[in-house]
Amino acid sequence: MKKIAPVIVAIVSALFVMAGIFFRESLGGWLSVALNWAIVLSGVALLLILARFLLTHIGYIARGRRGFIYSLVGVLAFLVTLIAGSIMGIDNPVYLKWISGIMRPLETALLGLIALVLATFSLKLFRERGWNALTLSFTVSAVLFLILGLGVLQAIHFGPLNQLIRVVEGLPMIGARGLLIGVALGGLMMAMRVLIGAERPYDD
Amino acid sequence: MMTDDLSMQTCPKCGKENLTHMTRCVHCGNELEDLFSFDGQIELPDDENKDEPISNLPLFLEEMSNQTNLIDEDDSESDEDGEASPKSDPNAPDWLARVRERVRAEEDASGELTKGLKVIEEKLEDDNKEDSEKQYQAWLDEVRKDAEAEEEKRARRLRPSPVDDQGVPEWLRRIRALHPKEGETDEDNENFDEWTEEELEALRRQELGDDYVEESEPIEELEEDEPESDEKIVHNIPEDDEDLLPDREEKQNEATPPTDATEAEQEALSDDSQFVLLSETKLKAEEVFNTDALDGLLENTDDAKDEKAERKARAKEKEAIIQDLLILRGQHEKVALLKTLISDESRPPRTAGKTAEPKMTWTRLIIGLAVIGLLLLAILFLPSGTAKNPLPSMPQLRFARYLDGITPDKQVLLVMSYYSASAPELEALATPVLKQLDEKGIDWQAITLRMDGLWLAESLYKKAGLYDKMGLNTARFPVFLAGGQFAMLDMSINQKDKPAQSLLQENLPQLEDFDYVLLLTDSSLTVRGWLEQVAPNQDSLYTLAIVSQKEAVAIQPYFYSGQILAYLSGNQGLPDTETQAVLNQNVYKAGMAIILVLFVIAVFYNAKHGRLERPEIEVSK
Repeated sequence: MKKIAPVIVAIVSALFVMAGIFFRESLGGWLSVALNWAIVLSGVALLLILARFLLTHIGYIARGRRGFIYSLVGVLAFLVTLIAGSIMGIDNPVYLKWISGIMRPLETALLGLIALVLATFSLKLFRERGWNALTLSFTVSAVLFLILGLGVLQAIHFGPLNQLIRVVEGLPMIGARGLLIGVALGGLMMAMRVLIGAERPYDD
Repeated sequence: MMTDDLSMQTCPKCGKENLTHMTRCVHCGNELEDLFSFDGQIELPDDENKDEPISNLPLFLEEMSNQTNLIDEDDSESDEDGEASPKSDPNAPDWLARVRERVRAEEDASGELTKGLKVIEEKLEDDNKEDSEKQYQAWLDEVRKDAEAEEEKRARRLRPSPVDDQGVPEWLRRIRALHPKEGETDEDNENFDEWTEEELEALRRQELGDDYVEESEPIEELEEDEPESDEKIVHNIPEDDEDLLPDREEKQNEATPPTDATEAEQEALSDDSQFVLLSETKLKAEEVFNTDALDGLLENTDDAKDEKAERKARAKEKEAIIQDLLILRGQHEKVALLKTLISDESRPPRTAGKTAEPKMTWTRLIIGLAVIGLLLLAILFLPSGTAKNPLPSMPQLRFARYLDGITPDKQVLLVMSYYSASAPELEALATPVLKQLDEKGIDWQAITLRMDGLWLAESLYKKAGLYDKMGLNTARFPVFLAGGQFAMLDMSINQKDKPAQSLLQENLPQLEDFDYVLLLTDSSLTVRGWLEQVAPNQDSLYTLAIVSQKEAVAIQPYFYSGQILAYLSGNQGLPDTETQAVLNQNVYKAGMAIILVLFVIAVFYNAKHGRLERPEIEVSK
């Protein structure tokens, strides 16, 4: 029963959502209720994650685990943000400015760091992987699109060249479309497996 | 005794040889209980050759057997003169004995068959007499030789095994050799045999590791081999079998005369219990492979051949033991290798034999600093807005055309979902669009799918010059839509005439009120979620998008399929607008040029140093 009940709930939920979409006129209202339940559940899950985060890091601090200072910073930042937002309100301009002043430089620095790391690994790719079809194709495409990004070739204003550039610039879309088709097929298969109980992502 | 031949058994699984007392194959770990035997155990000859054809029969016997195929065995037995005929069976019945006597007495009574047999034999004797004698003699010699070899083999089996003679079990000597203890004294060795069952159990578990399976019977039998006292070992070898022991052993015993008491005790035991008591010679760990001690024991032997054979046997045994020890070490190495693989699972592969060069580290640092310095110089000193894309892309042109086509009676919903890091790029693209919407007097509202969109919207409105116009509490301030794609689907199916069904978000705008949706996001997943969850339920809603450069490729298929009317991305903002002024195109291109140059340098550098060949991945032990 412990294993059958989640399967039954998952299958019934999936069938109900599908029925609500197909018969929106008659079941659309109930589908909205079910979706709101899902939103509430996801919010509760977020609370559980927060509780787990707090308990874990408070435990690290209490035990004096190595590197607990980071846990201390994390817990304090969370508590200060929570208390300030609760008192001042999340629409308060001062509160928003304060949060934005911290978040924006942090995330921008992180994005810049990611760019540098990606560039470094692209340069190290040859030494790690050698000279094979993957690295060769990567090198050709990278150099080609870097040159196209500079806009030097477009500035020539030569008709056939511009036509060729447009064709080349459309090549990535082919790969993206293939990825989307793969994602769609994978999602369809996963949904079918969940519907028949063969896939149980909610299981242990 | 070290010089004895090792009795080996073949593993039925891997086909490799193991010592007879092994209950588990040291090569593959297969159980060998069925093949288990004690060292020195008497193995009676099997009847395995009983059914085999006698291929070595002399030619004349083969011919004879072929010619007498039609003759019954009983009839052939009646020929008492033939050399190859079997002797009369004393247990034969009386009637058969009488028949045989009559055959001997009366020639005619032997019957036609007997006569025929005699004629055949006479013929054979006449034709092949000399050859038959030679063949028969050769056959007898061969049989005698085989019998002697078998006897010698039996004698070797009956000799006390290395375990018994030296008083140290085979496995114990191997373990001692495997883990020799420094500073181990003779006294320690003498007491070494005082093993309890628990200690032996722990020792086997330690040596066999994961392969160890607790087995009751074989282990008990093994433990019976262990000496119960630290001074004497009683071997269960009958005296009859002891006679088969070689003289060399007696000489060895003479070479190491026991004490009087011990000798007397041995004789008493031999007479009374028919068992032999051998004095135990403790073998040190360092003496396991020490052939000098054994050579000393062999000094008394006069037979050079025996000595040579013993040396060969000793070498063979030593090789076998070393092989087993190597396998044990190999198993340890495999365990170490497995541990290394598990611990290195998430680490990058290490190239073979290539260590980091300190010189290269400095080079990398210098190159990295040079790149950052060049970028800083470009950001600080390159003028912005001077480089314009001469060829607007198709999505750009379409976006401008749809934006121009939006009339003031239309309503636009702005859906925001992006991180702070993407804010400068997206704000640069969205600012002219919002300005144009405001200038045209188009009514629009905003929602955000992320909590931080609440304060990111403030920055966007300020850059668009709308913040002062709207104030703080206007309807155009974004509404947070919690719940991700669930909320999207809920919003799309939530009908205007049934607002009570929405339980959570009361202020949520109704999609039916809008004509256009402008997605402002740095994630293609948001675009995909919107197009999959919302757009199919709102056919009259047109979708435009402003995305970051890195996600532009991912939404291109939606543009060419018509699901998105148009989009702006990266440096491809609205044509003829101030996008370039916000996003410094020159710095952007300078960064691309630096990356391009570095890329080319890296390719040539690695090619020059022969690093473009696929390196072998080294797995450290």
